Amino acid sequence: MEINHTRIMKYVLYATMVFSLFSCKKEAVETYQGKDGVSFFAYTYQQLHTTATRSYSFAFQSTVKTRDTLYIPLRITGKLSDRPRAVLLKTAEGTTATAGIDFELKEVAIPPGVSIFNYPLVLINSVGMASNVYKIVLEPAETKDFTLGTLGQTPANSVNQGTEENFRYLTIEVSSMYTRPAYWDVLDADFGEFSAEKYKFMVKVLGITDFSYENIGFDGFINFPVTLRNALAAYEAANGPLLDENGNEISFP
Amino acid sequence: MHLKHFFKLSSIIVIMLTFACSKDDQRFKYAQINDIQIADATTSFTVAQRDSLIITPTLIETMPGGDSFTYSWTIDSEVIADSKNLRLQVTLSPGTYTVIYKVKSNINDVYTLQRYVITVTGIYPDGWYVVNSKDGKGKVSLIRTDDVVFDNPMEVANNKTYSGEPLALYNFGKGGFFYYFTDQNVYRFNMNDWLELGDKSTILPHLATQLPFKSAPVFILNTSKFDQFIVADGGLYAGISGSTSDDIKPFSQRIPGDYDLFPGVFPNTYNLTYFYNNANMRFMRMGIFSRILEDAPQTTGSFDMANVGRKMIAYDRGISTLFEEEIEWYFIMEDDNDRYLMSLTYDAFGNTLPGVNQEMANSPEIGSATNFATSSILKQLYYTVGNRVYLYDMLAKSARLIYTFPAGYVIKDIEMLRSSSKQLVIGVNNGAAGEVYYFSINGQGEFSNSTYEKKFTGFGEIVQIAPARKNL
Repeated sequence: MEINHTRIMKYVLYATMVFSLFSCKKEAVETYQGKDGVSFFAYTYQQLHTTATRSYSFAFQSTVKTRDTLYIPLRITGKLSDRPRAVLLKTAEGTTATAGIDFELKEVAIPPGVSIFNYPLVLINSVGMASNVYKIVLEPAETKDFTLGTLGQTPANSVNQGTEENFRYLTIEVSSMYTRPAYWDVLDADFGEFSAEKYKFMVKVLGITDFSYENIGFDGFINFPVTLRNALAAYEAANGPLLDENGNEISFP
Repeated sequence: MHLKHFFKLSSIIVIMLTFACSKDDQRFKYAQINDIQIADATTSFTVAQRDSLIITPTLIETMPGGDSFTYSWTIDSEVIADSKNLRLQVTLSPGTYTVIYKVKSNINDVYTLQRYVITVTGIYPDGWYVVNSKDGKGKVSLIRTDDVVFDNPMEVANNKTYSGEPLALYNFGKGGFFYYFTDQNVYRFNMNDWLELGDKSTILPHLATQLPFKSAPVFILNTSKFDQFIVADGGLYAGISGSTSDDIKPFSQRIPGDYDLFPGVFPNTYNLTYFYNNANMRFMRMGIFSRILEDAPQTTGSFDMANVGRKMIAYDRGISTLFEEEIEWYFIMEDDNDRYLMSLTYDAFGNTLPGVNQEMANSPEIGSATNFATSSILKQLYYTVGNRVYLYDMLAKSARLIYTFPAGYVIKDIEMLRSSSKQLVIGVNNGAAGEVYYFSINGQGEFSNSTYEKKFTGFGEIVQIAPARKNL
């Protein structure tokens, strides 16, 4: 019995050693194969992936411009490349602006090694913009290097500091009219109602074009009206009341 | 087979047991080592910036003479000295620090530690500012609380000359710094080391009138301490004060409106700060974070704030709530006939209330009085005419002479030590030579022993006396 046991143990041991020699083998790791993608991205709270739009007005610029560039952030999915790659946006359904007249979309080269890129959308201060707000609905176009990228949410992390949405369609509204900016809700009480003429006066007096709270801060929020009231008083003393586009007298509360 | 193993194991155990224990002879040898103790009774020190910190620890050794030591002094793990005694010029910012002193034996590495607590104060932490002028040039001197007098710390600290006639000095009130107005500029100085932090270009960049100021400007924070105000040449300028004195912002342009303010700002309630329009002789007001200067509404009671009909001559503060969210203010007003004591106070709900309104009868020379200071604990007021100090009793509605400086002296400014209302500080000019007197106030409001407690001389012609820690 004893002899048998020992012998069996021996065989088992030899067998194990032999198996061990052939048990592991390096396996090739499967990586993503296919065309790299590109998509729009923005913070979730901005709601640009759903209903919100980006807006641009030639009226709100500090100087008169015939063309301007609006930068559209794009995220690239897939491998980074050590060579420049071509990216292009195209218009989608819902676009009311006319390519070549109101805007230009061109294939541009993404530099090697980048995963995030600002696409330059060229806006043209067209005649129609003086009386219209045009919509440009954008989506990534197929190029030799890219197709539509991965869509969905990127969780908040230490780099982006907030959840982001990767999405297919981005809507931009463009005009050269003085449309009331959304941030004016915050200014109503201290700066009074929005009007195009008031806005122009503010740009002239304060030398800035962005009056959002993020830009002017609490100090500007409470002290700019003092400067504006003084400037308006000086204007009125010299020229009489300052009227807005609707014939109403401009005032700062 | 099994038995064989059993015998083998048993033999090993027996052998091991045989040698496992042996009798100990219980003779322990102790070498006596030198025991060190740091026997300092004083382990906390207060030292001003730039002064020397000297600590000479007393070491007690049980076996003196046979050992040598390595010393180290550390603050926040940083070694600041390796000598037995500490002698260090303090460059630390004001604050409290822990210094660890370590004495280590070089023979056996045994060490002992002692912890010292060091409080570093500003070099000029507290006391009285004396704004004065010598040979047409302004300066601010400081009488520190330990009675050390600094003649011109701002020029020493900044190594530059500050020209111009001195007009006024106001502490920020939140600590940190003070404003100094000359007829040519406005400066902000760190109150601890007097280093310059800014001038007109960053403080009052939008001043409506070109300098020089026509009269001495005033400054104060509102009671919430978030708004700051300057009245200069009748115009009001407002700014946010920042959550700390570091993020302070410049003042606004002149607040628009047709007004000519008396140089005084009266923060009364958490929301409202008052001003007095000497042009139409009524109060005006501004809410917190508002930049609208509006006429005060009509009030019933002792007087109508919207129609006072008297010219403001002077002011000082009365009582206040614990955190100074409400402050009472006394005013000296004047009409064609007489002078009046009036006040703005507050009710239990923190609302503005007109206070006293009484003619200052039975008050010798009140018509020519130039300086006023009120007590925050007694219903009393001090006023001066020439070299004479009078005490006015608000309840008895009469005043009496309580002190006279020598002939030829002219009282320029009087200030109550607001924290206690027990000390009146008087700046006096004898020609172009300024002197400062501290008077202790007794329970009746008179000067203790009918004379001054301390006297400081050697100043130029005094313009203003200002407390270092408060802005009024």
